[in-house]
Order: sequence, then structure tokens, then C-alpha cells
Amino acid sequence: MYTELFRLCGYEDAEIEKERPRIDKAFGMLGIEKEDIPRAEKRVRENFDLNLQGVRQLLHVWMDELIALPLCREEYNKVIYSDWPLPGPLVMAAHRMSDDIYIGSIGEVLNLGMGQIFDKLTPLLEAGEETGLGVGKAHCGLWQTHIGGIAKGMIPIPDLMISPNWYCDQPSHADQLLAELYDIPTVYMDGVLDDQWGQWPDISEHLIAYMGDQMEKAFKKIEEVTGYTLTEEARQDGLNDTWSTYLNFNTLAEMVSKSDPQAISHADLTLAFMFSFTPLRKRELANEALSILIRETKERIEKGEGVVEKGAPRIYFGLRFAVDPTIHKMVESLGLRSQVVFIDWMTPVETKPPKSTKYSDIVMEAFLRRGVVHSASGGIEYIITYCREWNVEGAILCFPYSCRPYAILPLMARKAIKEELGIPVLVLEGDTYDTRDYSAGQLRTRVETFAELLKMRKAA
Amino acid sequence: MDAMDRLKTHMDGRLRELTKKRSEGVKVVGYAPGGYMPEEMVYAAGAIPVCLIRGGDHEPVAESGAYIPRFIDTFCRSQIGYRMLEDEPIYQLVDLLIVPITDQNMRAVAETWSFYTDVDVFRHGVPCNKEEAGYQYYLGGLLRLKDKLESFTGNKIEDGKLREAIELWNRMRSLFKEISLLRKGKRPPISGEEFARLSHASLIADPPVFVEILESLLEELKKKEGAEIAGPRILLTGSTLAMGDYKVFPLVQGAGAEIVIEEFAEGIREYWNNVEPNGNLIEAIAETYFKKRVPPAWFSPSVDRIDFVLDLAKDFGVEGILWYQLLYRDAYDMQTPYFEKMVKEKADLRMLKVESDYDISERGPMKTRIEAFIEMLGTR
Amino acid sequence: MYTEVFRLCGYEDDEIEKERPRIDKAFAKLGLEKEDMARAEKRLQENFDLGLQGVRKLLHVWMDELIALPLCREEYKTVIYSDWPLPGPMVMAIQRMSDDIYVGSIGEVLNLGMGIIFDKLTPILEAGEEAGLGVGKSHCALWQTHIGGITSGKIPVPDLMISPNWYCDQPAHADQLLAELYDIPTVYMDGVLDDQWGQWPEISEHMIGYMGDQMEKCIKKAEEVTGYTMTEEARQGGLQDTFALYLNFNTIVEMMAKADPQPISHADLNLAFWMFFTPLRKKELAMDGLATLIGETKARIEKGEGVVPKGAPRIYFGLRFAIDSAIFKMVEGLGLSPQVVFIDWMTPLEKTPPKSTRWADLVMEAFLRRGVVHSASGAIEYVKTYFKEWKCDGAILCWPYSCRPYTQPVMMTKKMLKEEFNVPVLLLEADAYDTRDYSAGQLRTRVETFAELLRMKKAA
Repeated sequence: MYTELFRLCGYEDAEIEKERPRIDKAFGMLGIEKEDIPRAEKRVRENFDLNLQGVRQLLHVWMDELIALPLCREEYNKVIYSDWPLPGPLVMAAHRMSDDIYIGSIGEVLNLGMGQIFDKLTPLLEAGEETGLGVGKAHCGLWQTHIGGIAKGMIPIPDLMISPNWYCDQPSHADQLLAELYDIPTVYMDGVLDDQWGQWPDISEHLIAYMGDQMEKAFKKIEEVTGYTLTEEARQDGLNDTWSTYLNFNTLAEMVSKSDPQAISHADLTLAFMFSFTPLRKRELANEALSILIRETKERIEKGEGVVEKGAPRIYFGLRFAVDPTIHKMVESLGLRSQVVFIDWMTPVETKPPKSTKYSDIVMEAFLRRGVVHSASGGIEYIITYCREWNVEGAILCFPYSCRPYAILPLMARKAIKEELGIPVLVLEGDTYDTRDYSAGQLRTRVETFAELLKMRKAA
Repeated sequence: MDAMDRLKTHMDGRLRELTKKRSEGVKVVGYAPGGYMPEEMVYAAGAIPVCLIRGGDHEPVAESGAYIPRFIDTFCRSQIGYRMLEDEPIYQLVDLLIVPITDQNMRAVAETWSFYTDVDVFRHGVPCNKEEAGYQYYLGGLLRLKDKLESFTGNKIEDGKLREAIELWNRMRSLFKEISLLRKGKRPPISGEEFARLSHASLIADPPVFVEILESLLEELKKKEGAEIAGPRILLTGSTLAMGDYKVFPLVQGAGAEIVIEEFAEGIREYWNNVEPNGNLIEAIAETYFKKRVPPAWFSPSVDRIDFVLDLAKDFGVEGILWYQLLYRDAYDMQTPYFEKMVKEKADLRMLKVESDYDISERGPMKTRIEAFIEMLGTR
Repeated sequence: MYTEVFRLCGYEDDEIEKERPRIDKAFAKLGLEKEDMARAEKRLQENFDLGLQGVRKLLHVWMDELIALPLCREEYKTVIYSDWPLPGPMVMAIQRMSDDIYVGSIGEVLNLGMGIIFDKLTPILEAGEEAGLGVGKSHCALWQTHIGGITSGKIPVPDLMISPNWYCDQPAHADQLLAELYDIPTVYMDGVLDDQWGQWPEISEHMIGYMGDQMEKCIKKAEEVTGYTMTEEARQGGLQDTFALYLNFNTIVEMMAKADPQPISHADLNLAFWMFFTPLRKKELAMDGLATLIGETKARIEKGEGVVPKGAPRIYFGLRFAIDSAIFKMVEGLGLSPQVVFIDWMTPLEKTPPKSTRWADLVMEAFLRRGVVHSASGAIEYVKTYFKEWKCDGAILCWPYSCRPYTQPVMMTKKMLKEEFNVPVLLLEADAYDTRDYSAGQLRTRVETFAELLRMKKAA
């Protein structure tokens, strides 16, 4: 029933045949049925540029992850779960410790697989709501999915949860809920964001060090539960896995930023963006996909081809949608060129060598150099840097409903951008992890008039 | 659908068109919805009527908190927020704002715009009863509005132009009525949400273009057979259904029902009665807009509305009433206890009341309640 | 059980004895029991200056009204109910038509009696909520009490309701609800406030004329229901009843505004303020009470005695509390002197002869000359007049939760006061008719720091 869908996702027929028993079992656990397949085919065709081999391969990587997740208990000796905002290098280093270990950013995998591809995330979100992250209480959609997957029995109970508690409050409380319900060993990576206003990009050593130590604590717990030792090599590999993917992505993002007309859709780019926080079974395939996509994008640029009209108004768009490709498509269809998106681009601050020397400190320093995760003042500076460096003509500060740390800054950023750069700003409530209430259709009206405003300003 | 595509293209370019016209010296006259501001008069004065009808977003509601205490109706607070946020361009184009004073919530819009913006705001009152004195008051308001429009635009509202405008709007109303009545059947060719969106577009679109599109749409719809409605047929009523506030439609559909007819104080164009294009035209307008118009809940008493809703329910084969009101629209909130009782007694209809403050946190409980309601209707 | 309460309210013992059967019956209907008396005694002693004979007389008037209300069906031939904002002269003129008629502003009577004296309003408010003016929907508490009194069976169903629909939207809808529930004949006094921005103090003739007509319509309906005719004498009597009381009240207000230290508490003045909208059975006693209070206030001023320290910061306080005098006691207790309150003072404009000639128009013109009821721009100008005249050190703009018309200008007024008078302004959400959520204790913290600020500013 799903052969065509897998073909669209870059699978060869032989591979599909080989994987069929695993796919059948995984789909059975995930509740993916015959009627879901045509919807997925339609969604993939309509929202992703399947002429690009790189995009097909990116979809392949996510489909692999989606199949691997429900089967992880039977295919691996140890199962560890985590999710954003746990630093990528931590989970990826742990993943490198042994092939016996399954480590997964489960919410992200479900978002990309069940959301982006199958558009069947609602049952998971609802399971998360029923389990304790109730509806209408501004609980994080990612963590509703995270606990919903387990509560619904779609994915197995892990041997360990590594719970990030340094950027926002939801993960550790959600994991504690799971821990209490299923008696799952859990280690919390604590952290405090107490730097002063205006301090960014100087990041306090005490902040980095505390979080670095917490990361080490998490490593120790992983060693204890798995029985494996974290080697220096695994650490470096973890770092490399993150950075190599991210640098490739960054190259691509910069190419798209510079291209006019915009060479490829941000819906396609989202598939790559989410790699940086997710341990992948096929990291090489991911990097290869990115390399192909870079090449294909370059070809398009050279030919002057694009997905948005040449000369379209250039905007900063403040969010990536992990579960739904239609929103970026909607923005582009309205004739806006999202020149820079969310935290895609690496600012000059971030390309300088870090001050830290210890592995875990380096990881945290890199994270905190992204102004938006450091503080509101850092976030404002960071976004202004984006807008200024790319000379955008407007900004859509789309903030995610339920994300308390990120939602602190959009209104301040709007004021700062208007005052410092004098460009129009639209503040838009959305949700990167749950678009039931923020579908492209619902957001369209406000973006539509804003797009028209920018076009008129440009024409004037 | 061709007509819908044409409408989309027209609406996509409407802001640009309005801006261009404005730069050429044509006045853009904003007005508050509710069916008491005759667009014909604005049009006959050579200005462009544009309804302030956006809603459903939380940001403007939050923004309004800096200008007015929170317990004003959600839609009315939004009208303050959209202007202050400066990201809804049509709200920035308004040269003159006309606010029919229907209740205190709407008056708050006029007062805040007057104080916090440099837009000229004109008020004209809508008495809350249809006695002769009430009619005369409304008529007097229209005459003052006529003076205002003439002095503001520098154009005289001549009978010839006004008659032309009335005929254009009559055509629009007749077409809306015909399209609406197509929904009486088992297979409505247009969904409730599509109809609401069409109504909203009519409040902003260029009237002659819109009427032409509506003509084509009607022909297309006559030939079209929609899907058969499997579940209960629902009448949607309430205070305001704003452009952008479409959340109840998928919730009703998701629960297996369909909205086949709606009755709103604000947001759905009044299309049941035309204006007689003869005699004293301002009086003819007042006759239709005030006397013939089925009054909203803020009339005292407003029993006409209850009878009208019951008639609609009967005509459209409705099995349940969904009452969608916005927070702090007090007249509506206070009517529900006896409205619900009366529709049950008079027509054995069940009603569900849901309320919104344009906040996402409402979705869960609203969905559960609508599902339970539809399920209950299904078992009757 | 209640002898002492009545003594505190200025009753002589023989009067109490004489009234005992009526009191017993009325209290039983109102649900006033033995345990309520101790609370009432305490409340009276704590909140009113019972050393002032004028205050005791005012309390006497309200106690009389509280007893008369539940008994009105058996003591009068025809019963008519109304409430604020129905113009006082109209209800008082109808009351003057015959001694057979009971006309009552029932919410106000319950507020003053069950609220100010007995502190037992909650069951009535709750009954109003249950009947349809639901909790948390910002419905007017006066009208919750109005309908709650009837639905709880504490007061009888009337023969006619005269429903004001010219200033705010609640009364007509509340009365319509009652009309539907109990099949009560109802006449609506409609009105529209559609004057333009900045027009006040010019008031459109069409507005006055329409409301005047509506008032005449109500009078006609009252004639029809009672069978009595409205005479010119009754009309003039109604006008006199209102204005005589108000002019006396204004005399005290001006004495208070000029005096330093503030000679008597605004808690005491509250008792007089609410009489202008309420037909009273004992108007003469009310007039006597006010005259006595004028004499007593004058005596205090001559002695230099006061309830607030001399030189205390003088403020404009934007609300009167119909059900709870403790809030004024709290404000004064914090060392602030409310120099002018709400719409107590009659501005020079209001003392000039009206333009209207017809009785009903005169009444409405007088009402609309109070800027706060005319429009937001009128309200701002009105408060400005207060400030120009009285040169207050600051303002507490206390707006009533649920009062949509009164609420509209408060934030604008704050801006004006800051810009034009450069005085500190405290915005305070409260409720004149329901202090369950806005008790003196709850408001105290904000007023306390504001008082400190004003003292520091004055000392600087």
C-alpha cells in the first residue's frame, strides 16, 4: 500500500522490499493505515519539491527514523529518549557510544514523520493532552507529542530519559510525569538563564560551567544505564555529527538567502533544519542529501530559477514549523521571500572560536551564542543582526504559542526593529509543534495583508 | 470554481487598489459592522466604504489592553488593537470612521479611535426599539451622516447617484439571498464557512466587481451539487462573526454536522430586505436598514430576533442551534437563558452556547462541547 | 434582636416598638437573622461617624427603605421598580402621583440596606448570577442585585418595570430577562449617546429630545398601569425632590473640598449620594439629615477637627461605593484626603440655566451636562474641570469592573492628567456594586504605595 510513498521519499524498490517487514510492524504500532497513505502522498507531493533528489533523500532519512522509533525496543539493547532543547552533541555523542544503543529525539521524529509526512499528529497530541499536558493550558506541543507517543503505546518505554531543564520548564515536568507513570529512570540536565540584560554576546562562565557539569552528569548516567563508556572519540564524533550537518545546512541557508529569486522553498529546508537536534541512524545519508541539495540549489541559482518571484519583498521570518510544511509554502505563495528564517543563519559572533575548552562547555557556549536562547536582550540583538545583515524589508515575528522563553521577546523585538530599522513588523502567534489552531489557512489572512503592504512599500 | 478564483484575485489586489485610489484623492471610509451603516451613501458620495471586520486573532485583543479596560467585547477590543498594532494595512487607510452606536461596546471603538488616533470619527445612533421615535432618530442620524459625508468628501450625495448605489446593493443583497437559499436542500453547494467568507469579502471588495462575481458564482452554484449532509444541520447565531474567525466551522464539521444558515448581529451581511429605490431615498434606506432589519439582541425588547431565528431554523431544516458569542458582549449573554428556553418550547430545538475571547486555550473545551452537542442531536 | 442596630440608625425606642411587626416581617423576607445583627452593629460603628446626628438620620432613611421594599406589595396598590441610571426626577415624579404607588430603585435600596448596613449582599448577587447574569462575564452587579432580589423571592414581583436603556446596556437586558421569566410589564426608556468627540458641553438637541420623549413614554405607561395622572405639580415635585437633595449635598461637598483637615469621612457622605436616584418614603427626614450634617460639618471645620491629618495629600477619587463604606475608610486611613469624589461636585456649567424648556428635556439635559455620562471626551473635560478648580495633588481613577460606559475614558483621562497637570495617577479596578473581589483589604496594597508616593512628592 505504501510503495509509491516510499518512492517519493527516495527509496529504491529493492530497499522497500527489504524493509517491508519492519515497515509493516512499525506502521502497525504507529497506527498508520491504508487510508493514511494517499493523504501522505498528496501532502508530500504538494509541499515538497520532489524534483530535487536532495529533498527526497531528506525525506528518506526521516522515514527511516520514523520506522526505527517504534521498533527500537526489539532492535537495540538499550533505549534512551530525549528531545529538544537537549544539546545535539550530547545525544549524538551518546549515540556514538555503541550500536547497541538507540537514542532518539522522539518528539522531533514523530513531528517530522507523523506531522510533516503523514499529517496524523493529532491523536498523539490528544494523547499528550489526556495524559496531563492538558488542552488550552499553553503546554508545549512538542512535549505533548513526546509523552503522547509513549502513553498511546505507539513507541516503547525507554530505559532512560535525559530531560533538558535549562532553557524551558516543560520538558523536565513532562518527563517527570512519564517517570511517575511508567517508572522510567530519568536524569535531568539542569540549567539557569540568569545573565544580565544586555550582556549577550558575553556569556557568563558560571552559566556555561554549570550546564556543562550537568551535561557531564547526564553522560555519567548514560554510561551507568548502558554499561558503555563515553570515549573522547565518541564525544568528538557527536560534535562533528552536529556541526557537519549544521554547517551544510548553513551553507544551503546562505545560498537561499542570497538567491533572487528564492531558489528553493523553506518547506524543503525545514527537513534539514531539524537534523541538528536529532540523533540519526543514517547520518551519512543526511549529509549526502544536504550535499546533493546544495548542488541542486546552486544549479537553480545559476539558471535563475526560483519558487518566489524575483524581486519579491525580503523578510525575516521568525519560526520554523516542525510539523507542517504548508505554512512556509503559504508565505511563499503570497509572494514573500523569507530571506532568513528563525535561527538558520550563523551570525558573525558564532563563527568565532569559543572561549571554553571543556567539551561540554564548548557545546553550551555554542548554544548560548544564539542570542534567542540566551536572553530577551540577546534575542533582540540577534534578530536585529539578522534583519540588518540581510537588509530585509520586513519581519514576521511568529512566536510559538506555549513557548514561554521564546515568547518573552517578540513584542520587544518588534519595537526595537521598528525603531532601529524602520521596517514593518508583523507579530504573529503560531505554533511550530501543533498547527491545529494555526494552520496555513488561519494564518493566511494576516500574512496576506502584510505581504501586500510590503509589496506596496517596495513599489513606492 | 471560476468565480471564487476571480474573487480571490480581486481580494488579493484590493489593498493595492484602495491605496492607489486614496493616493488619487478618493476618501476611504471605514465603518463598524452591524448593518446599520448604509454603504450606499458612502459610495454615492464618491468615497469607498470599507468595513472594519477583522477578528479572531489574539494579538490585537492583547494590544487593546493598553488603551481600554478588558471587559469590552472581544471583537470591539480587536478593532482598537488592529489599528494600534499598525500591521493590518486597511485599518491604517481609513480617512473617516463611521460608527453606528448600537451599544456601549461599539461606542468604545469610536471613543478610543477618537482619542488615540488622528482619524475623524463620526457617530450616529441606533435606538433600541422600532417605535416611530426610534425610526425618526435613526433617520435623523442618516441625515447628519449625509451632511458629514458631503462635507468630508466635497461631493454632494445626489439622488441619481444614490439610486444607482441602492440598485447595486439591492442586486448584491438579492444575490446573497439566492445563494443562501440554495442551502435549504440536502446537498448545499456552498458550505457555511464559504458563505461566511463570501459575506466578509463583500464588506471590503469593490461593489460592482463583487456583484459581477456573485452573479457568476450563483450560476455556478446552481449547477453544482454539494456533498450530502450526513449529520445534523446547524444554525449558527451570535454577536459577531469576524473575518478570520472561522474556528467553529471545522469543529462543527469535524463532529459530523454542517452549518446551513447563520444569523449574526455583526459580520454577516444583512441580505433579507432590499431598499425601495424610489421616493425619498434616505427615508427608504432608513426603512430597510432600521425598520425591516431584524434587530440584534441589544434591542429592547428583542423578541423579533428569536422569532426570526426560529423561522430560519424551520426553513433550513435545522436540527440544532449553535450560539457563538464573544466574551463580554453582554446583551447576547443575557439573552441566552430565555432564548434557549424559548427555542426548546416553541420548536423543540436544542441549543449550545459557546464563547470566545479569541484565545487559543478555548479550542479544547469548545471542541469537546460541540462534539457532545452534535452527538446528542444525532441521538434524538 | 435588632434594637441596638435601629438605635444606631437614629431610631427612637418607641419608633422601633411601633415598627416591630413590619420590621419582623421585612427581615424575615430579606433573610436577616439574629446573627446578622451583631455584624451590622459592628459595621455601623466601624464605618460611620455615629457621633454625627446627620449620619444617623441618613441611615434611618435607608433602613426605612429597606423595610418598605419587601412589604411594598401588601402596603401599596401598585408596585413599580426601576434603578440607576433611570433619571431621579422621573421616578420621584411618578412616586408623587399617589401615595398608593410604591416606586423603588430596588438595587440601590438593597445595596444600601443589605450591603452598606448588613454586609449580606452576597446571596442576592449570587441569585442574580444564577438567574442569568452569570459570574465572570462582567455583568453589572447592580443589576445582578436587581434581578437577584426578585428571583430569590426576597422582594415581590412588581406591576411594572421602567427600564433605563440610555446610558448602558445592562438594565434593559436584565429587565427583559425578568420580564420573560415573570411576565412583568416593562417599559424601556431608550436613548443613544451619539454626540461627536469634543462636542461636550454642547449637547445635541436630538439626543435630549429623543430621551425626553422616551421619558414621557415611560410616564404614560406608569399612568396606564397605576390609573393615576401625572400632574404638573408631581413633575415639579419630582424635580424638587432630586435637586433639593443634591444642592444640599453639593454644599457639603464644597465645604469638604475647601476644608483642611477633611472634616468628615466620605463613607458618611456615601449615604447621601445614593439618595438622588432613589424615590424615598421619608424625603423630609433625608433633607433634615443633610441639613443636620451641614451644620455638624461646619462646626467641625470651625474647630479645625478632621478625619485625616491636616496637610494630607488631596486627591480626586473617581468612584463611590454603593455597598461598602470600608473602602473610603481605608483610603482615609492611609492618610489620603479625597478632596472631590466621583461626580459629587456640581461644576459651574451645571449651575447655568439649561437650554431646554420641556420638563423631560430639562431632566435629561441636566444629566448629560455631567460630562462623564455624555461621552469619553466629555468625561475627560469634566475631570479636567474638577482638577482646575480643586488643584488636587493626585488622582485615583477607580473604574468599576463591568461598567462599560464609565470605563471607556479612564485610561485616556490618566494620560490627560499626566500631560496637563503632571500629577500622579493610580488606575484602580474596583466595583461600586460588588466588593467580593475588590474589598478594602484587597485594594489597600496599591493605594498604600500610591499614598506614600504622594506624601513624598508633597514633602519634596
